[in-house]
Amino acid sequence: MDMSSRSEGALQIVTVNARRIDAAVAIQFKDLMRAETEGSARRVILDLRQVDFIDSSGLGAIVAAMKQLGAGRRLDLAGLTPTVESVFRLTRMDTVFSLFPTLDAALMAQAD
Amino acid sequence: MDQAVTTRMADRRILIEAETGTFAVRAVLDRALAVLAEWRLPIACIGNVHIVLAEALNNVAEHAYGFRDGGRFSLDMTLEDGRLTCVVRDHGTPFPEGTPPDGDAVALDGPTESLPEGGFGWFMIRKLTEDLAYDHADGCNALTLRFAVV
Repeated sequence: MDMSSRSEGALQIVTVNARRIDAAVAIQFKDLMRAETEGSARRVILDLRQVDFIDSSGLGAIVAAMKQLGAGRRLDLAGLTPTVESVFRLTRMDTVFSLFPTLDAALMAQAD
Repeated sequence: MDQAVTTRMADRRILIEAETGTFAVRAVLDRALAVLAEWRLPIACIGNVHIVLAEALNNVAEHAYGFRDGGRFSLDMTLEDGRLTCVVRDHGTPFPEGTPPDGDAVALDGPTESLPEGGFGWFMIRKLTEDLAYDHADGCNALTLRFAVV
């Protein structure tokens, strides 16, 4: 699994360069997210546009990635493809995360 | 057996066999999705079947075989009269109570640090299937998952 990241002040954008976040890579995803978000960016946007599938392990790993950011920092999700969005809506995780159709939409939204 | 082996049983029936291993579930899912596209199932329907089969097959690797490599499992898919029937078979540990889990929704109303990181699988399986059945006989677990194809 490959990830890339860039920071702009209090904002960090982490891009997942993989087609799936599933049971085979869930632990690796969580570890990579911990390493990528070691900085102090208050808002992290996870760009999922290249990801066409997540399973429940992948979903759990994204929840874990948010929890390990700690208090005062948030994880928003952008670029959800249809099946990925279905998983978030079915499990009602769309009430926990802010979901944005594109990275641009996430960038336009206020970080509050 | 490193890869999934596909056998066409009939015009609209396919059997995919594999052994557990790091990317075995992915290999079986890739084969299954290609077949469903060939059978011209609607994209949204394929997405739902993808979610359910991923959970069912991961459960085989994690629970029936306890993450052990080399456990034989198969996916038998039949499309008939607007209905897709998928049977997942393995030779591992049966469900504890002899029945699959209820798959209750997980609670999301607590503080962030207590949010669940698992327990979504059976909830999604039950939500996205029309019905399901489980049978254990002669050391073989068979989980039948049915979908209305619309």
